Amino acid sequence: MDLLEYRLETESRFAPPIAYHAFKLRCTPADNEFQHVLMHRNSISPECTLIEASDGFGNRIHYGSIADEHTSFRIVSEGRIECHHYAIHEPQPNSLFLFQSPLIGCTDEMRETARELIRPTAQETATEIMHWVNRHVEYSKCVTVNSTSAQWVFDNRKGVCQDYAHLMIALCRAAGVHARYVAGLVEGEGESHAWVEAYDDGRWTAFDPTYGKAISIGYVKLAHGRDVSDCALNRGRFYQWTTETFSVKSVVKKIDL
Amino acid sequence: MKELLTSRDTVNRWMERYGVRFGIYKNGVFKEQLFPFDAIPRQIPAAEWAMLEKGLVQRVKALNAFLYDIYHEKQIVKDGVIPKEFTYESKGYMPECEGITPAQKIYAHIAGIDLVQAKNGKWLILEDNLRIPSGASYPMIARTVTRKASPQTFRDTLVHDNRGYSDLLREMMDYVNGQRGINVILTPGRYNSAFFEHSYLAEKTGATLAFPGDLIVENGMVYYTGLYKDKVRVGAIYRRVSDEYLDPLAFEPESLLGVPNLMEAYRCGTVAVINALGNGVADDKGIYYFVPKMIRYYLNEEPILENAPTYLPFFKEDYEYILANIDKLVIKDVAEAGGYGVMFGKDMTKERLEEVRQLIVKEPRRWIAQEVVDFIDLDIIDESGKPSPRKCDLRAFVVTGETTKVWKSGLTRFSRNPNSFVVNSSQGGGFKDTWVLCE
Repeated sequence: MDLLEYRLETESRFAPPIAYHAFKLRCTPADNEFQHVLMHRNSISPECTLIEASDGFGNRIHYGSIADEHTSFRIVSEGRIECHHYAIHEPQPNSLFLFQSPLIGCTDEMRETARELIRPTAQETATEIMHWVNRHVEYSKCVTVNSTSAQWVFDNRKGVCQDYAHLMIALCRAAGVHARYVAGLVEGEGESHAWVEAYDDGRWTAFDPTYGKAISIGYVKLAHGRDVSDCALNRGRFYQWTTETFSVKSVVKKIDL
Repeated sequence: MKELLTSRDTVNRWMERYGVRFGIYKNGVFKEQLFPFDAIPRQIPAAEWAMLEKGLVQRVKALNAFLYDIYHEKQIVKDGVIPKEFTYESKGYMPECEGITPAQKIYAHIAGIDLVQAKNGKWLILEDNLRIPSGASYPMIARTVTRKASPQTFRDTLVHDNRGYSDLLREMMDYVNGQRGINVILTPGRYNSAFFEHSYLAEKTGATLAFPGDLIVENGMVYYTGLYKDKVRVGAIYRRVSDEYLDPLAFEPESLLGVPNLMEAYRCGTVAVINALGNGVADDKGIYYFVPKMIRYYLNEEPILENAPTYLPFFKEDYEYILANIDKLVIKDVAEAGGYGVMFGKDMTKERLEEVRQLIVKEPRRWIAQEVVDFIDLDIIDESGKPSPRKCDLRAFVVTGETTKVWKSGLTRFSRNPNSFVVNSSQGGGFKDTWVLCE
C-alpha cells in the first residue's frame, strides 16, 4: 500500500472575457477497491456553486455555471489517496466495451494485426497488444489533436498517451477483449495521463501502453469511458467569440508513512 | 363530401395563411414549401380502428419496457433474445443514459408508428419513430380548416374529432411534470423543418415555446429565462431538438441548440424530458426486426400487428436469401431515416446490384432487406383536377402518460409521383387527413 498526494491544476484564460460559462469537470477520484480517497478538495475561481454527481459510467463529476464576466477559469483539485494494487472486480463487464466508439473504429488491416496478437487468455492478449503499440507508435507531441481517431494512429504511428491508449483499445476490442479508456494522473510531475483497463476473468486490470508496462501502483484514476470523448476532465461551453488558452499541471507524490 | 373536394384550393389557401410550411434543405439551401394537402380523407372504419388501436398500444408498451431494460438490467440481451450487436452497436444507444430512470418510467411519450395497408387489407408496421416523431399538427389544422370550408361534410359523416390531440399532449406533460414547474416546448428555431408544428403545439397545449438560450440549468434545476420577468422553474421539456444536440457538455460540443448540463438535471430527476434521451436504440431499422420478439418477451402476448417481412443479413440464413434475391427486395441502411438510404432492387442496374451486394457482404449489420409490400393506393385529386392513385402510408401517434392512448386520427402521407413508393415529406410528398369513423 502507498499513500499518494495529488494536485491537478487546470486553467483557461479568455481574451476577450466571457459573460456566461457552463462547465462539467471530472477531476475528483472516485473511491474504489484500489484507491481509497482519504481527503479531497476542489477550489475554483471565480467562485461558484459546484454540484457533485456521477455520469453514466459512474465517474464522479462536478458541474455548475458562472454568470459573471470573467477572464480566467481555474480549478485546483487536490487530495490524498491510499493506493493498492490496481484491479477492479466486476462479475460481468458491459459489452459496450467490446464495440466501436466515437474515436475508436477498426479497419481490416487493424483486425488483421489484432488477430496475430491473440494469446490464450485475455490478460496475455492485452499484454501482447500493449507491447506492440508501445513498440510501433512513436511518442510525439503536437501531431495529434483531442479528436484524433485510433485508425489515424494505426496508420501514422505517432501520438501521445491518449493516442497510445486509443490504439491499444481498438486492437483489444478487435481481438475480443473488453477494453476501456482511463483518464487520470501518474506519479511525478506533468500533464494528465491516459491508460487502458482490460477485462479478464472477473476483473479489470490496467495497462500503460505509453510506458509499455502493466500498472500496479502510483496511478490516480479520475474517469473511464469508451474513449477520450467520455472522459474530458474539464468541458466548458460559452457563447461568445474569444480565444482560449488552456494549461494543465499535475503533481503526484508518494508520501512516506 | 363533394363540397369538401371542391374546396381544395380554399383549404390550401387557408393553410398558407396559417403558415403551415415545411422547410427542407436541398443542396445546402433552405427552402420553405407548403406541405400539399389533398382533400380526400383516408377513412378508417370503427372496427378496423379498434384492432389498430389495440395493436399499437401493445407495441408501444413493449418498446417502453425494452428501453427501460436496455438502460438498466439488459435482461433481454442476457437471455439471448436480441444479439448484443443490435443494441451496443446501434448509433442510437447512449451510454450516458445508463441507469437513468425517467419520470414515471416513460421513455416513448410520443411514438409515431408508420403503417401501410397491404392490398389484402392487412395492416403492417413499417417503422417506429420514438425520438421526435413529427407531423401531428398537419391533420389537426387540416381538420380545423376543412370544417370551416365544408361544415356540411361533418354533419353528414360521423368522424371522431381529432382536435383533442393537444389535450392528450398536455395531460401527458402534466403527468410527467408532477407540478414541479412549467411545461415548455423546446424548438431549435425557425429554420427547423417542423417549426410551424412547434409553435402550433405550444399554442394548443398552453406550453411555453422556448428557443435555445431560453433555458438554463442552475443548481441542478432547469429554468426558463423569459424576456419579461424573472426566471421560472421548468418541470417538463417537450424537446424538438435531437439527443446529440441537447447538451453540449454531454454530447456534440459545438451545439448551439442545447442546454448546458441539462443531462445532469435530467439524471437527478428534477425535470422530465419528452421523449427520453437514448430512444434511438429502440427505433432504428435493425432493432425493428426484433419488436415482435419484445412483445412476446415483455408482455407474454402474441403481436396483434405484424412487421413487413424483413431479413437481417446479420443472420446467416437471411444473408444467403438476400444475396440471392436482392433484385426483388428493398434494401435499407439502418442508420438513415426520412426516406434516405432506401434502395429498390427492381430499379437497379446489374452493376449497381453487385455494388450493393458488396456493401452487404462488407457490413452485414448495417443493412436490412424487406419484401416489397404492395400497399394500397388512395386517390388524390391531381394537378389537372382528376382523381389519381398514389401510394399512402399512415403515421399513427401513440401518447403515453398515465395510460397509453392512440390519437383517433393520424398523418396519411402520399408519394409525389404515381409510381413511387416513397412517401416521406422530405422527399416531396403531400398529406391527407385521417378520419376514424364512429360506428
